[in-house]
Amino acid sequence: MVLLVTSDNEQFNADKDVVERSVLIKNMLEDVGESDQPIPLPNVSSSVLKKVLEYCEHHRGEPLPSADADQSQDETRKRTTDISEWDQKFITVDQEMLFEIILAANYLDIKSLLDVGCKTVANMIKGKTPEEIRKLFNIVNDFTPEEEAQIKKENEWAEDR
Amino acid sequence: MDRKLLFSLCNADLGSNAPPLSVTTMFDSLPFEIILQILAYLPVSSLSSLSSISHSWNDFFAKNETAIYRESALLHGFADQRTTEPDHASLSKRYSNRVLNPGFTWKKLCETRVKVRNAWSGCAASTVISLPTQMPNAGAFPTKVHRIKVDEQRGFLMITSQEGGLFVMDVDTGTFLFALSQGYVHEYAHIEYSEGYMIFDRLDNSREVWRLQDIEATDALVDEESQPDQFQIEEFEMGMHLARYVQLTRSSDVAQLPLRGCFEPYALLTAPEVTRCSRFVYPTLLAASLDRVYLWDVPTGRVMEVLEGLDVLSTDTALPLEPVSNSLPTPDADEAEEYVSPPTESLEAIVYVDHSVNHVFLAGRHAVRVFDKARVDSEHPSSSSSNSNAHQGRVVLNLWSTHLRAGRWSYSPRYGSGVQEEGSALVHYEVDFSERQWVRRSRRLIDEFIAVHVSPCGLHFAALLSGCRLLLVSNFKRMNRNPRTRAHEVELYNTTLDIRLGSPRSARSIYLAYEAGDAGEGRIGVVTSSAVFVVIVPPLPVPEAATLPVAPPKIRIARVKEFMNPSSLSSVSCLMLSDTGLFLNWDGGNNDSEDEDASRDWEEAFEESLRDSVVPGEDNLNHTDGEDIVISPDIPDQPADASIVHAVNFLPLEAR
Repeated sequence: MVLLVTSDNEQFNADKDVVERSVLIKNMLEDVGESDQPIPLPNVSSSVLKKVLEYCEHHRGEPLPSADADQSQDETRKRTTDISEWDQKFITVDQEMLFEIILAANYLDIKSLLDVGCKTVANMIKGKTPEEIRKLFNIVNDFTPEEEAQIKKENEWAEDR
Repeated sequence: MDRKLLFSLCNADLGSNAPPLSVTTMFDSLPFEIILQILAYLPVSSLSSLSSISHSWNDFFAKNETAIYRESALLHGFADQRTTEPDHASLSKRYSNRVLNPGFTWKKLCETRVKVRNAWSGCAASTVISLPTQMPNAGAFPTKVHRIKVDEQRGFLMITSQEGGLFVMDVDTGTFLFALSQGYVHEYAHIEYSEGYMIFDRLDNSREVWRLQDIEATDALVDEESQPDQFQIEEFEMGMHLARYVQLTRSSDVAQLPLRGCFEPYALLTAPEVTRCSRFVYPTLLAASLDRVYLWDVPTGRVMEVLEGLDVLSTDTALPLEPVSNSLPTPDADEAEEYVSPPTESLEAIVYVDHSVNHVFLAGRHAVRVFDKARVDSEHPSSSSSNSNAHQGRVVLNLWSTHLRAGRWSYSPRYGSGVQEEGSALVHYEVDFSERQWVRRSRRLIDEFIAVHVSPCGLHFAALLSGCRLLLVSNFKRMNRNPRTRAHEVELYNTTLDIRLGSPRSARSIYLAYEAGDAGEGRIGVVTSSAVFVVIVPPLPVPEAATLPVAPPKIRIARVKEFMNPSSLSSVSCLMLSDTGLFLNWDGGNNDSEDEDASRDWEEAFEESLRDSVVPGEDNLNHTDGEDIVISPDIPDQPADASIVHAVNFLPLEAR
C-alpha cells in the first residue's frame, strides 16, 4: 500500500499497482525505494484525487504505454475521439472537475487519462459555432462586427460542407 | 515544473493569486501543451471557430499556427509523421506542383487540401479545361484519344489514339513531351501505367514495357527472354530525337534542361496464349485469357503465377470448404436449389480485370469473382500445364449480376435536389438512402458487369453494372469464404453499398474509375450515357463478424455539369482520376453556344430520369413466378469522330 497526501491534507491509501499508473508516482517510488513515507501531492485536491484513483483502479493491470508508443500509433492510425463506454461515463462530470482531472492527469503523468480528458473537451467543441463555444466556456466576444466579418471571411475555406 | 507554462489570456488574474486548482479552472487557462493536445483532435472547421471567439484566441492561433496546423495536417492525413516541414522536398512524393506552392505553411497545406476535398464534392471551386496537344507538326495531332493515363505528381499524362501512336504531354498545358509514332503503336492500343512504368500491347499478343528515364533504377534485372527487342530500341532512338528537338528548342536555357516524360524500352512480355484484359499495378502485370490469369513481375519480366479454371464456380477444387459460421443462416435443400439460379455459373466473357497484393478480380458479364493469388500448400502444380507456376484459382468471393438489390445500403441522387455552387463545375445532390435487410428473392434482374476496380489497400472494390448501378463492397476479406453458401451471399449483401446513378431504363454505364485510401475513403468516377458522376466515399465501417448494425457510410454524389450530351458520353473510352483532376476523352459535344437549348434538354431529361432510378421490380418482391426482368436500353457504342482530353481541375489556379 502507498500513502498519498493531497493539497488539502487528506490521506489516501491505495495499492501500489494502482498508483503506479501515474508515471510521476512510479518514478518517485523507484527513487525512494521501499518506504512508508507518505507521498505529498501538493497540486491535487482530495476530490480530484478520489476521481483519479477511481480511474486508476478500473484500469489497473492494463499495459502502460511505452515511451515511443505515441509516435508509432500516430503513424498507423488516425487519431479518433472515440472514448470507451466506462471512460465516457467516468468523465461525465462538470466542466470544473473535467479541467481539474486533466491538470491532475498532466501533473501525475497518466497519459491515458489525459487523453480521455482532452478528447472530451474536443468533443464538446466539435460542431459548435464560435458563439456556441463562447457560451460553453464563458468567453466574452471582444470583436467589433467589422473584425468578426473579416475573420469569418479569412476562415471561409475551413467551414464544414 | 517547467510544464507549468501557464497560458493565461483573459482570465490570467484568476490563477495568479490563488494556489493552482483551487479556483474554477477555465478552458483557456490550461497549459499550452494541453490546449495543443485538445486542438490536435479537432477538425479544421472547429479550429477556425475557436480562433474566431475572441482576440486572445485569435492571437493564440496566430502565434502557434505552425504547431496547431501541423497536428491538424496529421489528423486529416494530409501529411505524416515523417514530414517535418511543409516544403516541396518532403511533400513532393505525395503531391504535385499544382498543390505545392512556394512558401507553403502548414496552415496553407491544410487550406489547400480542404479546398481540393470540397471541390471534389462540388462545394469549392473547380473548372473544366480542354487539353489540345501542341504537337510539333500538325499532321500528327492526336485528335482521337482512346486511352489516358495520368501521373499528376510527375506532371504528365499519356494517351493512345484510335489512329495509333502514343503521346506524353504536360498535365497542365498539353505541351508535347515525348511520343512513339503512329506506325509503331497500333490503333486503339491499351495502355497501363504505374510508378514510372508504362505498358502497352502489340498486335502479336505481347506487351511492351517502357520505363521513365529519370526514375531511380531498381536492382532488378530483366530476364534474358524478356529483354526489349530491336524494334523497341530503334523506336526509342526516334522518339528521343523528336523529344530532344521539341523540348530543347522550346527552352531558353538549353544546357540546364533535363528532358521530361521520356521513356526508354525496359522489357517485352509475351503471353503463351491470347490474353485480352490486362492491368498493371507496380510491380505486377496481370493479363487474362478466357480462363487463365497470368501474373508477371515486371521488374524481372518473369511470369510469377498462373491461375487456372477461372470460369467454373462449381468445380470442387476451386472451392475452399471452410466451416460456415453458425450465426448466419445456412441454405436448406430448398433454398440451395433456388440459390443456384443465375443463368449459368459461368462468368461469361471476362470484360475487366484488376488485382491487389493478395487477390485477383475478374468482372465477367454474369459475376464479379475474386480469387486468392496464393497457392494452397498441399496443392501440386497442375499437370495439364507446362508452366510450373500454374495452379487452380481459389474463389473467395462471387458477386452475381442478377440481384434486384445487391446491398443492405442503397443510395441515389434525389430528384430535383441538384445544386451548382458558384465557381464549381459540379452539380451536387442530396442523397436518398435506404436500408433493407437481406431477403430471399425469386426474381432476377438480367444485367451485366462492365468493370471492377479494387482499392490500393486491397480491402474494398467497386463494380459497375451496365444499368447505371455502382456496387461498392467494403472490407471483403472478412467475408465467409465459401462463395456457394447462402451465408456468403448474406454477408456480401451486408457489406455492399448499392449506388444507383440514374435510371437503367434510359441510360447505361460506360466507364469506371476508383481511388481510395486504406480506410476506404475515396472517390469513384462513373461515366454513364447520361452524365459523368463523382461519388465521394467516407471511411468505410469495419463490421466485426456478425455484430451488426454498423452505421451506414454517408456518401456524396455530384455530376460534372458540362458533360451531358448523350452521344458524346457514349463515346467516352476512358476516365482517369488523379489527386486534383478528372480526365476523360470528349468530343467537345455541347461546347457550342447555340447548343445551349440542347444542353438544357439533356439536363432536364437526366433530372427527370432520377425520378425513375429504382431498379425495376425491386419493390415487387412478393412476385413469386420467378419471371426475369431485363434491362437493356438500346444505346449503341460509337467511337468519337474527334475527341481530345478534357479535364476537371479541382484546384484551379485562382483558388490556390
